[in-house]
Amino acid sequence: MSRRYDTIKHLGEGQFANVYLAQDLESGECVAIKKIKLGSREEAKDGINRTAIREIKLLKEIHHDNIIGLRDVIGHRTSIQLVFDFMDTDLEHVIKDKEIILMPAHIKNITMQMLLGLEFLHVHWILHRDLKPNNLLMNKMGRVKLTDFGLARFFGSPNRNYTHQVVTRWYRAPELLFGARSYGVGIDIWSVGCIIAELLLRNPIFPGESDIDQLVKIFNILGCPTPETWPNMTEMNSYVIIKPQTEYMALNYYFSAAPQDLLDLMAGMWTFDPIKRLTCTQSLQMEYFRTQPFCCLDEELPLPKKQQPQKRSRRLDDDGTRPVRRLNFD
Amino acid sequence: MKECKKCKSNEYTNKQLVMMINECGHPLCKNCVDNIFALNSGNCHVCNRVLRKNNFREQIYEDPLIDKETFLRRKLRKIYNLKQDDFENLREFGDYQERFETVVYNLVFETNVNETNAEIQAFEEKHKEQIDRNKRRLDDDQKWIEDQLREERAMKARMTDHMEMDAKEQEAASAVTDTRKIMDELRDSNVAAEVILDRERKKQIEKELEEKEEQEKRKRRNKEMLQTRKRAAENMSFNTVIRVAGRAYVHQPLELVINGPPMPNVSEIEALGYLAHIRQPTAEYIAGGYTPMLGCSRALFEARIDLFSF
Repeated sequence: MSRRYDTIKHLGEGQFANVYLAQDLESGECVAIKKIKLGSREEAKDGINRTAIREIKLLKEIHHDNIIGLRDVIGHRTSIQLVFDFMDTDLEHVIKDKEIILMPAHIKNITMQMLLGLEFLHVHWILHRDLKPNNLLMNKMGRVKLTDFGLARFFGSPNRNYTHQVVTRWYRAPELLFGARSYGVGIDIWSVGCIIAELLLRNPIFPGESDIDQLVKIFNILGCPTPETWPNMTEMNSYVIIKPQTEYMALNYYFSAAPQDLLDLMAGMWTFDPIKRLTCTQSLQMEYFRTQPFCCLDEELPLPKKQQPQKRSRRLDDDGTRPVRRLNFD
Repeated sequence: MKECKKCKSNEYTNKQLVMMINECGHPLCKNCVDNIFALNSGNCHVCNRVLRKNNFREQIYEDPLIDKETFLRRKLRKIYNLKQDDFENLREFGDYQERFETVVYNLVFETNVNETNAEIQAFEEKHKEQIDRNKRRLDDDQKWIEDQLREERAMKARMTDHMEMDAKEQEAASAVTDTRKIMDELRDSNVAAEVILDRERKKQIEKELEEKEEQEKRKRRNKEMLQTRKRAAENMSFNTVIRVAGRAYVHQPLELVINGPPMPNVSEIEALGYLAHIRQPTAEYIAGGYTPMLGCSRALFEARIDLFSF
């Protein structure tokens, strides 16, 4: 580690990086340091990790309240370390903590912060491409920030193909599941819709087990798209016909406590045709943000009390033996 | 690297590998111990010695011999527990200690096991009384530690006693002076006694209220300070958006500073024929959410960004 930062502890490990909590000795603030893993010699030959390149390239130039700030990049011989603002928790922990009660005003605030950050990205021609609760960090002041720009890239170029294998499956938009090679802001908006639903339900709304199952889960709730609602749908690369279910419920069946204006917003974000889907700016101008209950102050957002274990190792039972793997038959 | 000789599992295949070791010094992993010694006793998989499950200890050192040695030492110490004053002179005590080391060495490296065991037995029988007596006796070091602990505890108790006494005395003193003053007044002045008592009671109540208020004020002040500090810390970052809580939010679309000639808006792009120069997207592209407008805007944006900075 650099001389400017004093490592305090290891916070967690991802696919490409280790994250440490450290103190900035110049300002005294806490920062998170993401140390990119080197990988094998073979990988190292190809140069530095591409997710790291993406994060550095994009985050160096964007500064917004709702986007994680990249404070510093340290390159030392072969290791790369990215210094970020320190954030106390993420939305996944907030959603999973059963002791937290999310009030409508809280959800409105979180939604608004998400959309403001995302609008800023989209205006700068950046797609995030991996929105999900655990990529939305929150600090103890209640500020929500988008993070993990490892998949983010510029969009809008007509002669480039984009991979459709992006976004965690549960938050993936239908055009990606159909193998679209060119897409726009719609895929991020779809994910935002799923996150709002998860804030309401406290469970993922479309927990697909495979790509096909994902489509089935979506269509079971939203109904099947038709050539009228989604023109040219059949032209897509891996379009599959999924037999429409005869009847499906309106959204207020699943979200019985949500007000109509919120359902309108979600329905807009889940419009099948990506061209007709809401954009961030349109979403922020929806009726939802102008009606009561108004959004709360950032400081009023609830925080998880106890620190969940960061490492995903299998925990030991009380008597010190490993728990029997439990099978679920439901 | 740790590896169980029996089931061949190692630290890579089992993250929670715990190695156990018994008196014969042949390590096994915890899973194997649980399996083989399910009936509490069984044979060692290497030397076939009969072992008991509750004699298994977690392996601490990499070399099993060291574990074996500490295990044996702990066991033998129960027999060889003679102290220096059990011997007539230092020389004899030294001999005894040396003999002990030899016994341990023999058992660890399993040389002359039978003779050694016989020797231990003989020793135990010969010194039976002394051993039993020494079991209940502490050696000098332990005594010293216990003494220190006891002293520390006594010191702490004395301190707290003292503090309490002081506080009590002070309280009593102030109460005495107060009551004496009131009594003097009752005796000397010619105001009615009830009036004086009433006044004093009032004074006391007021005092209590004041204290309470003071406490609350202090609490509130602390809280406010914390909040303003929080807010100040937040404002130091790039504060581009001022969100409003508690009223309707009217969103202003974000304007991008492009530092170049102004971008044509959507209707201008359509009307002025910009789109004619953009390749028409295929149906697949359109279905995926790509529009000519998107590509066109991006191209126009790229052409303008930071043009004025040159």
